[in-house]
Amino acid sequence: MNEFAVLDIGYLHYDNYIRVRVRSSTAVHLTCYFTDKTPVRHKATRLVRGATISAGAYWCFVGYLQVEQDEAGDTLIHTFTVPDWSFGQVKWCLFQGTISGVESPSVSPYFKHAHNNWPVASLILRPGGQGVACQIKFGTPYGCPNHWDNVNEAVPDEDASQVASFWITTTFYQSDFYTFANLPPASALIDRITLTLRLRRQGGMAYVRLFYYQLYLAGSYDLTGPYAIGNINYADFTKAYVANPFTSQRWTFSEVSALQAGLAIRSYWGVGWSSYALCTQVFLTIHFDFLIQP
Amino acid sequence: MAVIKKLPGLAIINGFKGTLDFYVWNGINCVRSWPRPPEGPRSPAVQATWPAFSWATKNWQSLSQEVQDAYRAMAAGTSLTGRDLFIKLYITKKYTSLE
Repeated sequence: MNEFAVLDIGYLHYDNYIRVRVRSSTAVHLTCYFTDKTPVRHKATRLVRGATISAGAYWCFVGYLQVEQDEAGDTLIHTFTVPDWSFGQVKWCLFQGTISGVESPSVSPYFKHAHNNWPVASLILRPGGQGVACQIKFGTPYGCPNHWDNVNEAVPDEDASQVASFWITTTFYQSDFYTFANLPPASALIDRITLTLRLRRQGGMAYVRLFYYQLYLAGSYDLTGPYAIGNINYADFTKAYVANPFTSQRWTFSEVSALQAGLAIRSYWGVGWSSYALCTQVFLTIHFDFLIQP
Repeated sequence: MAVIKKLPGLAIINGFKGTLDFYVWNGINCVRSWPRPPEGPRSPAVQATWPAFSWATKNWQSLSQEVQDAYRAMAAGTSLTGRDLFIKLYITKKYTSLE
């Protein structure tokens, strides 16, 4: 058979384009035709022995552009990047294709879709409350339990608001955990999450290990580190979690909604010198993927 | 098919059963020869559509809700159901036009 059917369709939204993924019934090489003009339905007629009778309808897809699937050859999964598609804009897509280089007689229906910014390719979650620990000794301007408000700015304000292990005459790590907003449901999978800490070192030696990445979920802790902070000026440190470290499985929306994240930092005192760590920004980035997977 | 001014009585209509078919279409009285399936094997072109038609009639439920809804929205305002349109578009492009 040379026919195909579109079985499923999904969308990921970016600032000014959308990625569309389609699953087909048969391996086929698809082209996506897209337009911002509403398709028009016409009445079809035919002449039978001098009488004009209704022959149903046909649909015109006008003012379209086209884009070929990303995957090479005939495939069951087809991914398209549809350009010039911004928030609020409505477009219609339909799909035609070839099988082994021969044009298929099939055509998909047209799919109307509005760029609604959800699901997006990635979403940043910032601290919104205190988690299971608020131990870091100093917070500017807020002390415990409001450290989260020192590290949740969208544009880093560096030393203006931060938490610091400053002046602690101990080598013990001090932990902060923060809570984050719930993830709204979406027709998407979570590909990975990343925890970003914006840190700097004050004084001391660049090689001294001063911090951990930390996660907390349902009574369990995950610590990654310790790592050194070589920089005197603030810089981003990022840890990616492709799988949920508590389950070794793909992250779920409910797990991310319940997740707490944060850091542990310390001061370090050597003979004649000392280091301490400051953190001005903490955030989680949730990277999404299509629900339709190969 | 022929247009007739007036339908004959029921006894006459019944008398021609199996030979002539009297009916009303869009308020027009008509008569035609009694419908029969075509004799002999269907043309290769017709036969070639049978597997596709068979697949389409059986697989409407394999479409996701979003895809089914797209067919239904497209068929709205016509005499077709979404499933009818799915079968048509699976077999031929002649109901759509890229302009």
